[in-house]
Amino acid sequence: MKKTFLYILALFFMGVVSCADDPDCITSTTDFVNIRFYEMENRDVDTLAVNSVTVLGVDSVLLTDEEFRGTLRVPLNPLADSAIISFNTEFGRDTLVLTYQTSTRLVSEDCGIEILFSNVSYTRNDFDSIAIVNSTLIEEINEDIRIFN
Amino acid sequence: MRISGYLISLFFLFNGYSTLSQDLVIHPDSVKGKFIPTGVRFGAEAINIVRTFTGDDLTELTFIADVDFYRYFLNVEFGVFERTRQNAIGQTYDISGTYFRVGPEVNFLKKDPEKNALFFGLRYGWTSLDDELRYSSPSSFYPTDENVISNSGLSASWFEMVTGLKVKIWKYLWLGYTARFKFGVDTFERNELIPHEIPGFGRADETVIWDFDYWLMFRIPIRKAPTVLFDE
Repeated sequence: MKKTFLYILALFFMGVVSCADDPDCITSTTDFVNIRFYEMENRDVDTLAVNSVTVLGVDSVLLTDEEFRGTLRVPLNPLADSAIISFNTEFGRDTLVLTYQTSTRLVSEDCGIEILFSNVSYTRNDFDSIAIVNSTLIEEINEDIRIFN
Repeated sequence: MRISGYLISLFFLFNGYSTLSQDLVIHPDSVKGKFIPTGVRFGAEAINIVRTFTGDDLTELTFIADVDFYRYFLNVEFGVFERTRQNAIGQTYDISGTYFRVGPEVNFLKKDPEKNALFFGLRYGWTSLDDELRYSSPSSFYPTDENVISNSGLSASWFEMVTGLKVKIWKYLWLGYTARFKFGVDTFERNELIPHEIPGFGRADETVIWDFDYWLMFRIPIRKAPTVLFDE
């Protein structure tokens, strides 16, 4: 009987220490793909004279009439699996078609959903050379695609 | 002379046997038929019952059965799971599934006359689930169309190390708890819809989980346990 009492006590003790946890709302995913331009000959970061950069399905123009040197952030559609990006630069008109895969999860009721963009690749481009340096889009990574002119 | 020698030998033989009988100890391990089950326990997880009947968006019922083989138990658990999660911006996630857990346990209180159990065991868990997520595109650059993605017949498996107590409270009524260390599950990050939770395992974004179950059980005796003398 004494042993039984001790067992029951242990049961209640375990009930006190057990608890459930909720996930954090911190997410590292992003729906932007980062593109940087490089010179073909010496592989340095290029300064590009841009007339316009547009994405099919996006009303706004990403870049217009400027000398661009840095990272171009292109938004991807989470409800699609490809993006068509049109460049009008000092080298003429170029088109880049990106393909990607999305994976969506509900983080929690409070945090909402999270969408992971992965397997980023390209099916068409008019540039001298292109390289995918990161195929899974993460907020902390600021370069996913290198374009050489 | 020869007859008297036999008598003396018989005297010492019987005397020796008598002395041996007074110290005779039958160890539990030597009892014949000890691996024949003495009873079957059936039960259900208590917290899930409360959560199911007090909440609108969750149905989870877990049932347990075990049978003893001397100091070992074969443990089988079966559960049903349904849940709807919805937030203020109209994102809705529905999941339903069933799960099994099966595995052996060893009881460290083998000499307890009440057959209370302090056990350690292993489990193999398996589930089949269907889930669906309805949401609008969160992008501010593209049209906010409604989208529905789902998994159908998705299966997952995992392993558990378990420990806990099973305590006889009154006649056939037992209480118990199981502490679980779960591991080795697939997180499905390659799927278009990544499950939010895996029935029987827990959060799908975790590969290792601690969990507790609290059992309300009834034990149906099959036969009397073999009588043993203990050498305490």
